[in-house]
Amino acid sequence: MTRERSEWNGIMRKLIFRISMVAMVGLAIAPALFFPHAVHAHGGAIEGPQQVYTQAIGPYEITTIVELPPSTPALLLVDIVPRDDIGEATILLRVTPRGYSFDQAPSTQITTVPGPQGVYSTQLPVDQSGEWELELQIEGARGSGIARIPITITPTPLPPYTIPLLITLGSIFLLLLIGVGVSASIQRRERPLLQAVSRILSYAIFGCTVVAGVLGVLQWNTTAQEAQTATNSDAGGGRPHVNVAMTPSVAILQAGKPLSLTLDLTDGGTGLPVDDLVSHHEALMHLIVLDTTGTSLSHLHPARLAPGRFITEFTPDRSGNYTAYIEIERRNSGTQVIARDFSVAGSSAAPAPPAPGFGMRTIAGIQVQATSSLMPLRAARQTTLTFLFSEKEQPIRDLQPWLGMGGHLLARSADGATFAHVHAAETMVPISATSDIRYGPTVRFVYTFPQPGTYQVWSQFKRGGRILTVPLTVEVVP
Amino acid sequence: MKRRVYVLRLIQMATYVVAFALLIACGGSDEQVAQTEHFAVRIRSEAQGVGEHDIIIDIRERVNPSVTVEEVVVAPTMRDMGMASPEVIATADASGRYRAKQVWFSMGGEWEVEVRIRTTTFEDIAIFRIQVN
Repeated sequence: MTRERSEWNGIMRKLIFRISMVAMVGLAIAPALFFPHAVHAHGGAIEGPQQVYTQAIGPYEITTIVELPPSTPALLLVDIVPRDDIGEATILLRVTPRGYSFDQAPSTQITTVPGPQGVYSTQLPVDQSGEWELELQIEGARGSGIARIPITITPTPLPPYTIPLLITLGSIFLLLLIGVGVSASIQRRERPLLQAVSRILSYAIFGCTVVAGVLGVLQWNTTAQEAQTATNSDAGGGRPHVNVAMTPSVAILQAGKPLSLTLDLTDGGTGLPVDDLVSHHEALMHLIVLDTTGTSLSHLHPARLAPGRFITEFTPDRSGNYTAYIEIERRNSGTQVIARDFSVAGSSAAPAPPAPGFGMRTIAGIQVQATSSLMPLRAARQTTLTFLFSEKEQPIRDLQPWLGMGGHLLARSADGATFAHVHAAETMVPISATSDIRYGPTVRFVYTFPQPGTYQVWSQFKRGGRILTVPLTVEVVP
Repeated sequence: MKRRVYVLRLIQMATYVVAFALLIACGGSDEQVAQTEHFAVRIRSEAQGVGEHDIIIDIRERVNPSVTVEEVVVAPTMRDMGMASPEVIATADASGRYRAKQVWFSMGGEWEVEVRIRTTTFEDIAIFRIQVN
């Protein structure tokens, strides 16, 4: 009895030892197996299964979140997030392979409800990988608009060592099960054959464990190398510059009269339409329109209509000279800003006084205290600009993320030589439209003014679906 | 026979240990060393994820041991995003080691961290790359 117990204990010890060794190796290789793709957190171009596109489609600013399937046929999941209350509107969505007509394309329709806007989810079938276009047509009380978003469905291949690794792990599991059975048989009746089988099983488990360990390391290394390659190619910066032709819908631009601006993007090397833009900061294009006095600021996200062609509505609020800064990012090429000047006719109203400097001001009923960590501001010295928000003497803590950030700061030197787009130095969110994160009461921006002189600064924040713009004039000394 | 079994067991155990050590080694270390013209700089970062983290800095003079360091500034930048975090002036502890407190990393990815060592006559900059998850 004692001998039997001792044998039994021996078998159990051996079994526990084997299981714990296998578990240890399993734990070590689990990250390689279950998290094969290193995530390159890049607030700019998000090259993941979820793509975010914010566009002004007609008079409506809509964020479209597309979840790309890893294989086809599949359903393309689409979330529609209006920036603010768009009332009752219908949104028709169609998807088709690039170059095909939308006439026969599968479609779906969303009807929005007035009031605070949430997320409208829908799905469309896609039957092949490759280049596609997702069309959104919006009809509502405020007007209509259309946008065509380019999407690429790429099947995700399994990392090369996944299948052998899974086979090896499965074999270990199977061998362990057989081992338990054989051990139990040995305990019941002592047979040399069973003991030999047990030994062979032991060696097989050992061999499989070593192989699993090696495969795990290889898989880990391969994915790490792939991530490194992706990082390197991201920083490649190899595509030509972009030329932009900006065409207003009217010959003479008048202050206070709405118009549309069509932007045609062509490749500086080939002259062909540029259709390789990636969504950066949740939009294919950021269009900042400023008048030379710094009184008028518009931050727009034109809708893509066709390869290289974008359109947006715009109402100049005063006469004078304007500059449009077009911020885009080509695939693997970093961000570039192209500036275009234009004039708006009309009775020339007296220019508004320049925006105040640092200190307290009230905007839309909200008190905003602007301060700098460096006073006076010095050229080529880093400063942290801090905005403190309060309402009725209570700190505001419900600022919403906008375009992936807690806030955006635009700055332009008086001579127009420097244009800056600075992001809030606060926690970034992967997709701001669906995020619950809130900011406040302070939001910081870190920037180094490169040259001395006067700068016009606008910081923009989102609260309750509305954009709050805080203008500022600052002096930078040498 | 028994001896051979023991030897086999020993080899088996050694292989497990080596394989496991190799896997652990793949995790890497959070210590980095860089050399500037005048200093050897070693940093240890506690930056594992997004948030505020301390960075510990060891500075050794390479050329002139009598140089007095006036100020050590840590400046993180996320180059991919064109974003900078506020610079932090590191404070020295009793052992001469510097600690930059609550250095802010607002997002995951590779951060470039400059350690600027200022003396009365010159400034050296050591550059490190820190991966934030």
